[in-house]
Amino acid sequence: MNQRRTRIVQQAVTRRQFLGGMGAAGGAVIIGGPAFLAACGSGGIKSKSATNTTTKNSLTSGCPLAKQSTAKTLAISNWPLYIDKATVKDFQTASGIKTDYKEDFNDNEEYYAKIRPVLSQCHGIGKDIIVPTDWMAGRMIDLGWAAKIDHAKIPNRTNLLDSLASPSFDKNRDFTMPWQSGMTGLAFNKKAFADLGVPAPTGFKDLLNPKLKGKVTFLTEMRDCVGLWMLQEGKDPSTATFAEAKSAFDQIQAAARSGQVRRFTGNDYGDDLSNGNVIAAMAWSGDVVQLQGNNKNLEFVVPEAGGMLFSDNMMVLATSEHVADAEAWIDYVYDPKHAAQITAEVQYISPVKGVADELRKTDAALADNPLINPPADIQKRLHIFKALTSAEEKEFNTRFQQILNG
Amino acid sequence: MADDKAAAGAGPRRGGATPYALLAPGLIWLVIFFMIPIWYLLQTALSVSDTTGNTSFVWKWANFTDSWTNYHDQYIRSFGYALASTLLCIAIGYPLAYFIAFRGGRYKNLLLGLVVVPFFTSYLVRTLAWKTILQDNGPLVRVLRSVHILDANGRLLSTAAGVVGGLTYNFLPFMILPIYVSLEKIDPRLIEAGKDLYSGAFRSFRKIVLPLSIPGVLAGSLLTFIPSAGDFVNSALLGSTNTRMIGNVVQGNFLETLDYPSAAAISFVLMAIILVMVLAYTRILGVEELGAGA
Repeated sequence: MNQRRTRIVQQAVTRRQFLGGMGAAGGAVIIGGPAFLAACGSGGIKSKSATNTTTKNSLTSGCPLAKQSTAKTLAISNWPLYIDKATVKDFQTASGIKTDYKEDFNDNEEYYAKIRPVLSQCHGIGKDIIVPTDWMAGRMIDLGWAAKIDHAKIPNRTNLLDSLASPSFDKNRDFTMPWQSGMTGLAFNKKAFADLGVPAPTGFKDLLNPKLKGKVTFLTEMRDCVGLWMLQEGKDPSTATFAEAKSAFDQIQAAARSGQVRRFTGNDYGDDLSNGNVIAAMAWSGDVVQLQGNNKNLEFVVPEAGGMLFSDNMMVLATSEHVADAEAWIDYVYDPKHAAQITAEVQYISPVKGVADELRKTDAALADNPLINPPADIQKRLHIFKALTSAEEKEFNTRFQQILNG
Repeated sequence: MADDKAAAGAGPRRGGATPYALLAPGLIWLVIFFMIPIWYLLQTALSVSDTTGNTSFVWKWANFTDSWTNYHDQYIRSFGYALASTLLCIAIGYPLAYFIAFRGGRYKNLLLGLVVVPFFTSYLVRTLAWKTILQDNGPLVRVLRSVHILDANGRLLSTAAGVVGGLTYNFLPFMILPIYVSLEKIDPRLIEAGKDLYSGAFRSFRKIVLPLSIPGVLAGSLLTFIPSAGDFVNSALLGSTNTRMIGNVVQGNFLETLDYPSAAAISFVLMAIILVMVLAYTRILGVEELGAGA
């Protein structure tokens, strides 16, 4: 129940989201049916002989690259409601690659827990591309589960935003390409604040006002929740040690125990915000753009002290037999025209240069929305949580789980 | 009668294969889906794990004691909530079952159907619906606020009351149905005989109906208490961090921190506690009664 996009079960989806989601899911099923069968036919589990002909592609104990198949098929796992209806169909027509697009990546840790037993044996999971968030992509690259992407096969790679070109977990973008990015900040209902006679919040400290008791939610995503609080304290989450994070953990715990924070949420804060259970929440920018469609009183701010930036990244698995097809897909969605089509639907920040110009042709308001196209001064305030070592990760996660366990 | 005896006598003489053959499907099912998983779970509970979820078996018995020292609050809370919801289920379910059994007349089946129909939808969807019913600006909370049961800023969602309410609602049919069955088969002539002997309505209820329906209450309590104690959905959706139950801890440790050994150890301790409680409970109220209720 933890992470970002558990909205299929948890969030009362808006009509727009619902139709979008149904369309995408339906499209994927219809198109994906035969492709999925084809993928099964060409062997989900790699044959032994394949291992002889290949080399290790990654760090220490990586999986060898799978023997490549000549069948033009592609299987993608992505987060729910993260694409428009037409892109998969258009890509199939343009490339002749049968594409099985499934919205079954619901939670980083959960997906990892599911595929770990198979991939740790270097067996295929029947997927070519998956879309983990930065830190999880880092973990998978370290485990050697990712296939190296051939930059020459992706001419549109030059459209990748400079700010995303060399993240700490994949300095050269050898293994991943961002799918969408988003900001984590503070969403609030300005009318409800005015009714209470409380000035609009500019940061998370403002949410400790006793008048707001039980009307505030935080996120269950540790890096977002703790990162935002550290920024509030003037600390930098991109270099944080466990000792530095201690007071953030302690204060979050105190706020939870006292009932100031009503609860910790995944996407379902959207529910609580729209029906008035809470009036302020830690939130993801794309969700808020979508919620604003139904409630004009909702606002999203990146606190003065800073907000968090996340990306979900397309990663080709080392066990994929269709690396070339996967590269064709990545190249396709990095065309600004195609990327704009996706952005118009999902309303997160596109990692592709030129999307704003494309959007302006059809919907100027959307192109200038600071949550989709954040201006430079907001971008400067955004931070990415440090890549934790596995020992650190255990410390951080265990401490945060303690808070969630009450 | 003579035929029955002959048949009963013929069983053993016909050789040992038939009873085992009849037992086999259930036994195989138990071995594959209970014994083997339990064996793996026990192995995991005695292991240590790293952050990526790899476990190694080291006879780490401390996992069991740790699971109590680290999570006793959540254990106690779970059993408290489960007990509260079981008592509420009895308080709500008994009168309803009584009404259906004795006053339902020709609508009996319809009324029973109405008890069960909401449970044709998924557990998750029903619990989500409760989020809407209990929401802060919803009619229920507004009424409770206006009659001062809740104070002006009071709420039900994300509180212990919300979680216990959700548990009660979700497990209520498991209380109503066994009680109904045990009430239904009470011979009405017993109550008539009581009346003939000048017993009042309350006294005949206390002396005749209640004792005969106890097996149903016992069976219903087990069916309600056991799943409530291990539940995590109600606390996750209707509660907060201050209402975390042991099921949520298991879920978090399994899927978020990948601490499989501690999650497995908690599951074992939970099973052991429930087993002891159930044994004590049935010992006090009588094992035969439970059989009679089923």
